[in-house]
Amino acid sequence: MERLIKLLFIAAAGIALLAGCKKETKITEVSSGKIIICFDHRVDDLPMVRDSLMYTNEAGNPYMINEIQYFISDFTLYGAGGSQVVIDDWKDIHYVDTDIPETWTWEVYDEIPQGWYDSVSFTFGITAEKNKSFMYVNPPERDMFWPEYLGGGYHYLKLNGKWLPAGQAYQTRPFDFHLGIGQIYFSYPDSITGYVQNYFTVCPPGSALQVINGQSTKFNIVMNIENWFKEPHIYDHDQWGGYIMQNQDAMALARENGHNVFTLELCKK
Amino acid sequence: MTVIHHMKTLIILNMIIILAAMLGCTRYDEKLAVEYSISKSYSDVNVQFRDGDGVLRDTIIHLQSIEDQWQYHFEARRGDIVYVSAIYFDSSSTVTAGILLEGKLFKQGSSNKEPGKYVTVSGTVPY
Amino acid sequence: MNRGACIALILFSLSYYACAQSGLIITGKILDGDELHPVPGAEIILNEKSVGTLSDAYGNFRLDGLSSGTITLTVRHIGYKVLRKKVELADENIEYLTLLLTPDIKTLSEFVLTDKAPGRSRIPGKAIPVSRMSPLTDGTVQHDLGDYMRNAANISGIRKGAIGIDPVIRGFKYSQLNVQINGGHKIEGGCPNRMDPATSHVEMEDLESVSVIKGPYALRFGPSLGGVISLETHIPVTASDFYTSVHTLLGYESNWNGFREHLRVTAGGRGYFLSITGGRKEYDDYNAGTGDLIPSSFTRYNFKLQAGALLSDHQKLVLSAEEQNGYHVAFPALPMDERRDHTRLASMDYSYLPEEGRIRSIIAKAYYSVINHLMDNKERPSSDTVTAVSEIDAVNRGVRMEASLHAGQGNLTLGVDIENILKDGQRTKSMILQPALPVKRESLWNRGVIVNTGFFTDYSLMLGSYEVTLAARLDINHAESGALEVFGGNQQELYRFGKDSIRSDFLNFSVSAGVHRMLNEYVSFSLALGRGVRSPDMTERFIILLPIGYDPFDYLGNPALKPETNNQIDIGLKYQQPQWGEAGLTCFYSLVENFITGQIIPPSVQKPLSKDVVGVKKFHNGGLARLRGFEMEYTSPGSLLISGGIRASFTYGTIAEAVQYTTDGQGDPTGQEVIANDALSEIPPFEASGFIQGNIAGGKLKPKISCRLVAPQNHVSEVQYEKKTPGFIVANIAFIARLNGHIEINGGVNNLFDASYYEHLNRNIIGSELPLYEPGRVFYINLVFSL
Repeated sequence: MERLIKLLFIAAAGIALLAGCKKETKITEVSSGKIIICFDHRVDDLPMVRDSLMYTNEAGNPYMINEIQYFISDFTLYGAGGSQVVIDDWKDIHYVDTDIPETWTWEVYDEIPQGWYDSVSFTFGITAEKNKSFMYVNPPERDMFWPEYLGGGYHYLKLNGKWLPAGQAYQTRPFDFHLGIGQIYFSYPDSITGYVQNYFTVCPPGSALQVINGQSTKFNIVMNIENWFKEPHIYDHDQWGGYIMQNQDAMALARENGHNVFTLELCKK
Repeated sequence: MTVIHHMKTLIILNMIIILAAMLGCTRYDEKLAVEYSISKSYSDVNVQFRDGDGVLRDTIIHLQSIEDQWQYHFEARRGDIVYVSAIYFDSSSTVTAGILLEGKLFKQGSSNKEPGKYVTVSGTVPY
Repeated sequence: MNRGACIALILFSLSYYACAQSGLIITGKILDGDELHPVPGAEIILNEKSVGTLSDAYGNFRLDGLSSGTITLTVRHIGYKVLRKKVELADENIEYLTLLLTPDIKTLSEFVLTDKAPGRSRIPGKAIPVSRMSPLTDGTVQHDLGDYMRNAANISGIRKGAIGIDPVIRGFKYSQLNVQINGGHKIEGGCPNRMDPATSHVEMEDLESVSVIKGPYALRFGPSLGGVISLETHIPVTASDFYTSVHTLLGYESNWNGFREHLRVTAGGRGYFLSITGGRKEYDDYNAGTGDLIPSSFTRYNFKLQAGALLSDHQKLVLSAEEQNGYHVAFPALPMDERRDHTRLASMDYSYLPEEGRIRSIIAKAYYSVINHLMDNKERPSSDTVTAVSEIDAVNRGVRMEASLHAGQGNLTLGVDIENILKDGQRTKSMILQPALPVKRESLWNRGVIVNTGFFTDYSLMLGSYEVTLAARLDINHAESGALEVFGGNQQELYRFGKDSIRSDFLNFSVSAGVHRMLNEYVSFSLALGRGVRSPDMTERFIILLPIGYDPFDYLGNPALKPETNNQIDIGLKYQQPQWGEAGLTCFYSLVENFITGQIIPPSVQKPLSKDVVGVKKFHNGGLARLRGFEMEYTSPGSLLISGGIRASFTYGTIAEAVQYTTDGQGDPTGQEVIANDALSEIPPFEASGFIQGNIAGGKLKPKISCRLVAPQNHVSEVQYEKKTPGFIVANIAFIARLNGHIEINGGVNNLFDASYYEHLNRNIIGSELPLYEPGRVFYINLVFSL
């Protein structure tokens, strides 16, 4: 009996002193690849230069860009034979900020089945079901909040800059080219009778994409800034002024101009 | 017997003194004088503020001149939220909003030729 | 105000001495000869007559009206051999006569406290590993129980702020530990961040003993996975004659600049007692060894009433009501501070302890705990954008009944305990930088209810030279809640978990067995095996998006969680010899099934709602976890001129499988992999401590030096990006001086060399990568008067 107890004790002591197994990592099999989306901002096919009064829009306003911040969501890849891959395994809404370089590259978490994809699409802004007030509590997304009484949720776009009004030689005025939920007024600026969702779907023209097993395919989504102000509507800052958050007519114009702002291009190796 | 009775009385008296000394109340219930001020504006200003009862009030103020000031006084407890917010729509106007606690400047904010942008000044009365 | 209390106290003490009594007086203390804890309710009889007295709850006794000459004192108490001592009385009073009682080894069970106190459930069997601490006798009354418990082997604590250090025992924590007061009174803390764990709701000055019963073995105390923390507060006794007693403590700690006062007045006699207690603590911020000022101020005061009556020779009823209040308690490692905590506790205890017959004891208890907890971020920079205020109500009600009988060759205990917890809470956020000051109200708990009914039994007997104990427990656990919902602006739903899938019911069966044997006169061996099951707690099931863990994630409750099961083995060896001292070694191995931990949820499913939080984790059953370790201890006999002891402990924890995300520069994951045997997070490292104590002038002065060596913790969770902690050494000096039977002064210096260190379990200060450092050098002094 005593020997048994001694054996038990030695065994127990041995277990207690054993340091445990080494760590191992398992590698899972893949027949899929990844995509990396880079966000690029250009004016007239050249990289955007900020804080410099060097651009002129279609309406003839000389202007400069200070910063651009926007959301895109529901990024979808369309494969041959009608297959679709929606990016929402980790993040379904991506924030881009010209002041924050980390946001210019999105290494997408989702595993994309390998193959060819003819086109992509995404929502510019956030759809009504997803655009909920207070869902972001930390900067920088938090600072895109769209006031509750103006519709709530978050800005789709903040394109901030300055323009030279007609007749001015050097005194610029700031403009906040903002897109978000619009309001319908019975009599401005009180008595809001309804709200308008101003998000829209973008299908950027560009070449097809190939996703290769175990590799990452990199491509650019380019914002051609001048297109916000020209087609189908010529947008004149002198007409609309610097503040359009409460001006649904201006925002509707911007929304319609947005259709050809974005293009897709593959990254050259 | 009387010695024990004497002792008991002393015990009870001392117990009451000590307990009463110990169960003191806190000094955090005091009230402070708060003042909201709106000044330095060229135009009408829409003002929203949280009053002494915690209710959010709306008003449009008309300042007579650049030296004119709008003020609102009330009493707040430590930990209460104080909030005042101003907006104007004239493209060449300005505004300065401030909160004073017991006469000293607590928070201040202003804007210059930014119509349609709220100037919000807020905080919590410190403990 | 503090000065007033001091003056009143001095006046009172003087007035006592003014009322001198005739005849000679002997005052002294009855202590357990092995562990030196006081023995209350011991009979001290004079000269073999029936004249005598009883020792009080602190072991103190007093005999008046004696004449000079030789007298014999006979001391009796159950569990000890009878002591006879001759005392020579000359012309002076004898003060501080210490009498040590020798335990009677033939007794079967360990007593938590003696029979003369109201029925306290005993720990069944000697095989169960127990650590016992008596704050009032070891003279180290501190202001926080969690802090005090860190002195024991393999017990650590999580510091988030000023007070409320949350105990971790052998790596087990939170609801894995069963914390209860006086044999069954349970408290559900109010704060989801555990600012107020159950252990923080007991005032240290009131605490007679802390028994840590490790492992899932002591099933009669409730569902216990990692162990039971049994707190015994002071309960007055009845006596053969009318008596009054006053016990006061005045304490001061430097660095914190903390003042503490405590007063208890008791009156009792044949068949009854009444006691009133009050206390207050007011502490400022402390400086760490680095010199930084750490926000750690707090104010607490409490008030308690106790009354008891002997219903018959062997039946006792005790009623107790207590109110505790905390104000402005700083928690720099949490996003909010405690603004106000209002706790009310009430209990009723009945005990029947016959001296002969088949029934050994019948005890019954009913209790009620209500907490209203208010916290906010108003003293933090985050309140400049969003001011958040949370208010929680937690109600815990229960009953416990137990009967212990002689059955066959051993003792059989049967009983039932029922616990009902209700929790409701709301967080109000005012967006003070936004137009129109939007205010959002979110439920933290939505009327969550957990009801646990347990049936327990255990049987202890001697089989030859083996003491064998078997225990079993059945728990019927039911939980439900209102819908878990969060709404954004314009009442848009940000999160919802429907009502129908929130109910859960479990039937949990736990067993344990223990064997204890004396191998020879000095050496004993014990083996305990157990399988304990615990149902998930209120937070794990129902919490709605709050950063309650040590990592910056909002946690989501999971109503579909399954219970956790701990399969554990403990093997112990003890050597006990009166001249040499006591040495012990305990090893344990624990296999936990359905280990409850957090699993990351992508932002496309749920975005975090708390500021500075990087993501969301939902509670889930994360598979198998393993914990193993040991405690080793040696203490020399305490009655020697110089005594000492050393102690070492270690816990090693791993989880079988954990998912790790690989991330890009922005912190967003780009893929995942499974890691085997990742370290369990928040496990304290290897620790060794030692002390040397002097015993001068017959125990009147006891100086002590102690030292604690903590190894670096490098075994950290990779998956959770847990940070390693450097090792450190801390030295303390202390002394206890007992001037006579009535006045005790204890004091010392903690962290003598002003070391700058932090424990592995200390959380990080919110908004920074810096951990919460422990206090630097602290001088403390306590004056204890008991009359």
